[in-house]
Amino acid sequence: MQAQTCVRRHPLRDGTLVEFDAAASFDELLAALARLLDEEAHAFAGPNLIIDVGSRVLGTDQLLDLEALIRRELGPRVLQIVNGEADDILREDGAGDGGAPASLRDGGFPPAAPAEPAAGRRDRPAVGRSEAVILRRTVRSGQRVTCDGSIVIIGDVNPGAEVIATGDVVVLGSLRGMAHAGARGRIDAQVIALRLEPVQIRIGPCIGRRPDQPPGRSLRPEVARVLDGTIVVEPLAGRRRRPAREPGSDRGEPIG
Amino acid sequence: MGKSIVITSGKGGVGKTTTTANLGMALAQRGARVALVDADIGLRNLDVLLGLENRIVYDLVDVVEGFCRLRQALIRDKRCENLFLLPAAQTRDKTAVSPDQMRALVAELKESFDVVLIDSPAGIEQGFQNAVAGADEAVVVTTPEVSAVRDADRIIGLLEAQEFHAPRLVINRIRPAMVSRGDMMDINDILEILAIDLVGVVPEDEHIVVSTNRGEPAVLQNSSLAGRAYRNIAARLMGEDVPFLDLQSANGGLLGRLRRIFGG
Ligand SMILES: Nc1ncnc2c1ncn2[C@@H]1O[C@H](COP(=O)(O)OP(=O)(O)OP(=O)(O)O)[C@@H](O)[C@H]1O
Ligand SMILES: [Mg+2]
Repeated sequence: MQAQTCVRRHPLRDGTLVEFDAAASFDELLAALARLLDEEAHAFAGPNLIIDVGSRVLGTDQLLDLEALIRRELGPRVLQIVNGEADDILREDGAGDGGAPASLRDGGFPPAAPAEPAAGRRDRPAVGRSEAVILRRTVRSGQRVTCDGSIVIIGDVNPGAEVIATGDVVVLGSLRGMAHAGARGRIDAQVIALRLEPVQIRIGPCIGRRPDQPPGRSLRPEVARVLDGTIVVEPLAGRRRRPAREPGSDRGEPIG
Repeated sequence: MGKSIVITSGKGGVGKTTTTANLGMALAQRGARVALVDADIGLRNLDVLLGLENRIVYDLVDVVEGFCRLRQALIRDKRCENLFLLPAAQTRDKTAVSPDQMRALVAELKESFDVVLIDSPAGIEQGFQNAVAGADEAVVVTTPEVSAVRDADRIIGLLEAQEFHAPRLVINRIRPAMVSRGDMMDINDILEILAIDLVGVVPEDEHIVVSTNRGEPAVLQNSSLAGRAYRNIAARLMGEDVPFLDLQSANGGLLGRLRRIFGG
């Protein structure tokens, strides 16, 4: 009974908003959501599904579990995880244009604000208002995904495709197109991919391009970020072992 | 009610028309009633590959503009009595037809044919929109070149946006010797990027050039390896599970790679 009330569903014009109760544990929430999807799948029409997780921060495993559940029960959805914004979203939807949520667009992106001073605070997420959009699909040549916040793509970003986010860009697949993290100027944003083989990476105002003689294939997850004004790429694992800002000798390969 | 399949590519000259003519002939030889629609208006080609150019009286634009009935414009193949061609207009351009008109036309064809194959023009403009408008399924043709694969990817994205959920891939003009030397993209490289189902691999084959000039699709020649590949694709389109050709008998290179992809 208790679990039944810890997720609340609100219809939106183009999808559904689900609110997570602040008090419940993640496992309870997942179970309650599973039940809701099972019993009321028909009520989740529309391409967008926004989940308001309140003030909680979900780990990668939790995000993936959530994404897998939704995919299994509903099929592909434009899934957005937001923090405590249900009221705003409901208000926006009432007055809105009926399109996709404002923070996820295929197409133009508002002009970048002036670059912020180097923050370099790596222990904090790159986006203050922490919000992640998860997109499960291959982003193909000629397609551009822009996102106000951080974006997680479960799939590949192909040559000729562009992913632009004001926060971090995470690709759970191969990144072979162009990625721009920190698109409004944050140079502490990061680009992470299971296979990081982009034609070009931009972070804030910095641009790194693939060497004209491409190195071999990337075989492990890597992260690109800005060190001393240059975009460097290094293995994702182990980067916590060493202070990121220390100009250590094991610094990653510049790709610029 | 038949099904309609558009043959499309993005990049020009990769073999859409060759594929349409050969699949049409192969499907018809299997007994299906087949209509081929040349949607490349202004660059009529399919009639030449089939050797039917001299029989054209009316064309697709005449049909949509009401100058003739659909049945009057359909040309019966001279070798195979259940294969028909609806030719494109040569003296008009793509704007002469709208997606809605194409949808209606293909729906009408599906009433009397088992399979309707639509030969798309290259590119992503209105000609492409027209060609895909009435199609239930899509086959994307590419050659093993980086630029062709990039354009195929673009097309697949556009098809997905129009709710074609499982476009299938034909890789044309593969040269096994070059692949094994590492001088040509291999099938794995292509599938890794495009991430769609492979329905066939057609080798580079001189028979294609000869057959194009003669107006005799290569599937009519038993000695043609490309013809065999197209017969296999036709069978797969009809739901048969046909093993892929061993294009490289020496060390099973290509086949070995395919096996890994298909887990068989
Ligand atoms: N497997 C093959 N082996 C050898 N030549 C081929 C093969 N496939 C196609 N060709 C040749 O490539 C050329 C282009 O083929 P085709 O006209 O079928 O391409 P298309 O994609 O329809 O072109 P367009 O975009 O102009 O409509 C033709 O000259 C054809 O003979
Ligand atoms: Mg053609």
